[in-house]
Formats: sequence, C-alpha cells, structure tokens
Amino acid sequence: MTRKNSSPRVKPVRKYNIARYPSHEDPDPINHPQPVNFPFRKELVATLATLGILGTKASLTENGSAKNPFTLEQSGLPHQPSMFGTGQPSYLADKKAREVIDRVFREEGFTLKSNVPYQEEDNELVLDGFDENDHTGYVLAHFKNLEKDALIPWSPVNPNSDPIDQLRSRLQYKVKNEFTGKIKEHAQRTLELTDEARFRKGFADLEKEIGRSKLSLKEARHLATIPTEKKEFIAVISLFDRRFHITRGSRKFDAATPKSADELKKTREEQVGEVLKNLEKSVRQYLEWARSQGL
Amino acid sequence: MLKNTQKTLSATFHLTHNCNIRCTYCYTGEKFGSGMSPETASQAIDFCLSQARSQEVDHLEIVFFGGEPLLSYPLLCSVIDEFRGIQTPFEISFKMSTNGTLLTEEIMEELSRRKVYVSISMDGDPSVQNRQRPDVQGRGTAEQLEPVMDRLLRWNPCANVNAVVTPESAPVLDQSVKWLREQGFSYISTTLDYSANWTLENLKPLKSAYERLATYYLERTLAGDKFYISCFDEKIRSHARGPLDPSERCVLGYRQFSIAPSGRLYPCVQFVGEDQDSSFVIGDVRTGFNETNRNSIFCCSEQDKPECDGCALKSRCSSWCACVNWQSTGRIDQASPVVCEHERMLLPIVDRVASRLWKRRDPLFIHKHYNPAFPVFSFLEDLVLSPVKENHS
Repeated sequence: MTRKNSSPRVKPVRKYNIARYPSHEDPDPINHPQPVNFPFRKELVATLATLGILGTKASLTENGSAKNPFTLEQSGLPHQPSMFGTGQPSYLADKKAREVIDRVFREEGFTLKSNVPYQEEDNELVLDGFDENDHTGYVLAHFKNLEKDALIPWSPVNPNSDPIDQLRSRLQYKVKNEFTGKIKEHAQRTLELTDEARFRKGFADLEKEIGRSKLSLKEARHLATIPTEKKEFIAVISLFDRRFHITRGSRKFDAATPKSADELKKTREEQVGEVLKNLEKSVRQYLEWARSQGL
Repeated sequence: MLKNTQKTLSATFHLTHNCNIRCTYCYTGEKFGSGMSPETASQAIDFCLSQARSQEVDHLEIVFFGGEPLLSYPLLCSVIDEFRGIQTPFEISFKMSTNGTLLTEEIMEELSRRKVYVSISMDGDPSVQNRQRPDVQGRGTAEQLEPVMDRLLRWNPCANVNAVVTPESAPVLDQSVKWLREQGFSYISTTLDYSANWTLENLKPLKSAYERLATYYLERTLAGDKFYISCFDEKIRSHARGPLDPSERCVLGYRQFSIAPSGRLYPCVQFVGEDQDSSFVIGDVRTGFNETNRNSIFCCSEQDKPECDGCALKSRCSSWCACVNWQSTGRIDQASPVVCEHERMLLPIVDRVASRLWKRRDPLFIHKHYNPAFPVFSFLEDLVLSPVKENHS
C-alpha cells in the first residue's frame, strides 16, 4: 500500500489559476500598455540604432520618463462644491471608478484586497485596494470618504452657532450616506442625556470614530511622500481631479447638441467612457512610474 | 506572437556506439566499437539531402550524437566537408553533443572553422559530475573538464550545457545550475532522467530545489543577467507563446530522425540504443523510410491520451513527447506519471516567478519572452560586442 502511494501517477488538473503574465492571446506586452525599455547594452542599442534597425521604436524609452499622474496638485483636493450645480461638472460614480482601477491593477499583475485598514503614526484610513505582497494600492477620494479638511462645505458653519449644531452639521455633511443611521441612533442616545458635557463628548467620539476611516488632506500628503521613503505605493485617486470630470460643456460634445433623451443618454455614456479611459490610462501610468521608482 | 515558420528537417548521426565515459543513467546501451563506416556515412548524407529536397525544407540540421561523436572525429569532419561541398537550395547547419573530455584546443578550432555548434553534457558541480559521469575506470571527469569549459566558452560564449537530473542529484539541482552559470554558461538545459525510479518522496527535494532555483532566477533576471534555464524558460514560453506549433515539434520520424551506425533509421535518439531492437526501426538510409512503420509509430504517439482528459495543463505539458513517455512507461502512447507529477509541481513555481517579473515590468523578462528578435539581439550582444570576440576567426 505504501509503495503504491509513493508512486507518481497521472492526475489531471481540474482547475489551475491562469498565470498572471501575458499569454500569446494578449496584446504585445513590449508596447502595451507602456513601451518597455530595451534590456541590452548601450553599445548594442547604439549600433542597431545607427544601422537603423530600431529606428525610433518605443522600446528605447529611457527609464526616467514615467511620471506620477496622481500628485496632490492634480487631485483637486481640498474640494469645495459649488452652491449651485449649473455649469459644474458631474462626477464619476465611485463604483464605476473602482471597477476600472481594480481591473487595471489586476491586469498589471497585482492582487488587491478591498477595504484594508491603513495605520501609520497618526494617519489612519481605509484603503480601497491594497496588494500586501507588493505594498501597492490606492484610495479613492470621493464625496463619501473625505475628512473635513479635504471636503470644504459650500456653506461654512457659523462659528457663533451652537457648537453641537456645528458638529452635527459637519458630521451630517460628510457622512450623510452610510453613517446617517448611525449618527441618528447615536444622537438619539446622547440627546436623552442631560449632561451637556457628555453629550458633546459623545459627538466628538463619534466624529473621531467616523473620521478614522476617512481620508484627510494630511493623510493624502503622507501617502504622497511614502513611495520614496518606504517603497510603498498608494495612489490617492481623486474624482475631483479635473481629468475625471464628466464635463457637459466640452467642445467635442457641444458640436452636436443632443436633441432627444436617447441622444442625451448616448452622449452621456460616451463622456463617461472617455473619462474612464483617462482613468485607466492614468492608473497604468502610475504603476509604470511606481516601477521606475523601485516597486 | 510570432512563430518560427521556417521548415526544418533534423537528422542525427550516431557515428559510434562507443563512449569513453559511463554515465549512470545512459540510455544508449552497451558501449561497443561498432562505428559508422565511411560508405554508410556517404549513403546517410545522400539520404538526408534527398529527404530535405523532397520535403522542400528551408533548413537541414545535422546533429552528431553518440556514443561520443569525438571518438569518430575524422569521420565527423569528413561528413561535414561532404555536406559543405554540395550546393543546396536550403541552409545546412551542424551541431554536436559531446561529453567534452576529448575537446582539445585544436579540435575546438577545427569545429569552429567548420561552424559546428558544440553543446556539452555536464550535470553540475564536480561532486555531481563525478558521481553521475565517471570514466570507464570509474574515475571522476570533473577535473578533466575544467579547461574544456573555459575553452568552449572562449570559442562560443553561447554554448549550451545539458544537465541530467537524477533522483540523487535532484536535491542540489539549484546548486548545479548556479555552478554552471558561475562557470560562464548562459544556456543551461536540464532534463530529468525519466527512466529512473522517481517516487513522490524523491520528487519532494526536487520541488524544494526548484523553489530555490526560482528565487535565483528572479534575482538574477532582475539584476539584468541574461541566461536561459530550460526548465523555467520553456515553461514560461508555453504560456507566453502558446503550445508548440507542429512546425516547432519533432513530429516523430518526420521532421526529425536518427541514423544508427548501421544506417538504420529511428524516430529519435532515445530509440537507437544498441541498434538491436527492430520495433522502432523506421527504415534504412539505403532503402529509405519504411512508411508503414514510420506512420504507425507516429500515429500511435499522437493518439489522444484518455488519462489526460480534462487536464487544465494539457497545452503546457510535455506528455506529447513519445520518447519521454517511452523512457518512463515503456510505451509511447501512454502519458508518463513522472512527467505528470513533475509538470504539476513545476508549473506553479515557474508561473509565480514569471508573474512577479511581469508585475515589475522587468525589461529583460519581457523582451526575452515576447520579443521575436530577442535571440538575434542577444546573439549580437554576446558575440559581436563580447570582449572575447578576438578568439573568433
């Protein structure tokens, strides 16, 4: 019996995870998504270029050409929404953006885990995606996940108003969606208390608790500095970045003003498609830059 | 992805059964002095040329194998010269597989002048080499090969080394490969001794060795070290470029055949042995191919293997190789359990390394596996720009 068990046998593999590098069916990896440097000695490159064999092939690109497309300057943070929506761009749905970003990371060979808590000194937030092996990921800045210093309310809170109202107003503003129920429940509980100090502390604690998972401007700055220090690459991708605005008034789409609801819908889809393409391109560019920095 | 569309015919000349060393795993049978006669050699040349012409190939590849081909060195030279003296519409190239012990400076120079690509068989560092490849008296051959490696690489920095992995040498496979790389070999082919008594127990150390080799492969590639290690690069290739095209395979007995010293024809070097077993004879250089035999062996080897049905690795597995199956199971139509176990062990290790290199967009990895011009550029870099080029005439 032991003898039988120790003999190799033919055992078909029913399931095998597809290798995470391009196959013969994928686009040419030398030029897609980014041109790849030429790995030979400079003398050979020079000789071939002289002979005109390589010409101006993209594969001769230099190492330093990649740039970080997700700088804080580009991010549009802190963001202050306008009081009136007229003429303002509309923003990409965070779900759609996340789908594109996750796909690009996957295609580039990364395995992202969702909602990964990040803590470094007093910077505390939740990353939308993080590859623990390669210390690479991203956090998406959008209406629901920004701290008060990164999302300035269009109506400033009156400093002379009741502090509790100020707090409630701020909390309601930045967490109006997923935390609404929690705030109401908490408020209900604390309002029942007569001790005003405890009431205030209750809100302060709640703000801290909610703020912990949010992205502040300080944290965004911190994430921008770590690549060079720790070789950890977490992109802050902001939907307030002008490149990802769905702008109604663009020249391209103005040329043919939609005349019907269907046409309007189609135009809108085209605009979203274009923005998603920009986003995809930027994410690839970011990973290329990260690699050039030692990822 | 570009495929090699060149039509090639490969003929292997077994100039002699004799050999001056005694590898523990040798599959060519008894060593005896029966060498190919000059008449048979001439008939073999005519046969090869007529086959190449009738198949309208672009390239005729002549390989010298053994026994040890350098024991028949004068005949080897005259065969090459006879081929060279004939005008053909196709290109003819020459390769030789040797144990290296007879490769003197003079012979190396002569072979280089005749443009013979020399490939040497060495199993690894001196301890492995001496244990697995002793001479007739049972003495180690490693010391003898020290100057030979240097000589060979001086004449051809792209020389290939073949290393056979046995259950005894499996635990140190990574060390063997590293050692060969340190000696200057950039092209390292490893192959299992499929006829050995492989068990799940002795495959485990092989897996550990592959894991360590994976780390080495990753680190060296990232460091820009240009090399070829067949067990990794061929498996990466099977994903990156897809399954082998029929034009890239030996097509048992059709695109590749072996000529025994007697002039009898076999589908592959593995079947020649002592030239006593007629079950795999597919013809004779004097009378041509026995089409019935050739076809039945080919068809038998190409049959679907029901034991592999539904396997996700089928397109990347080596179980198509009839010779390996025959060595391992004694049959050419049955998948080898050793191959199966080995492929299931190796592929995930290789894919992990390749994925990491891809993730890092390593230029060397990408060009090596996806740039069809890589071999040409690599060759130019190694030979034309190499500091040892003054050694080439």
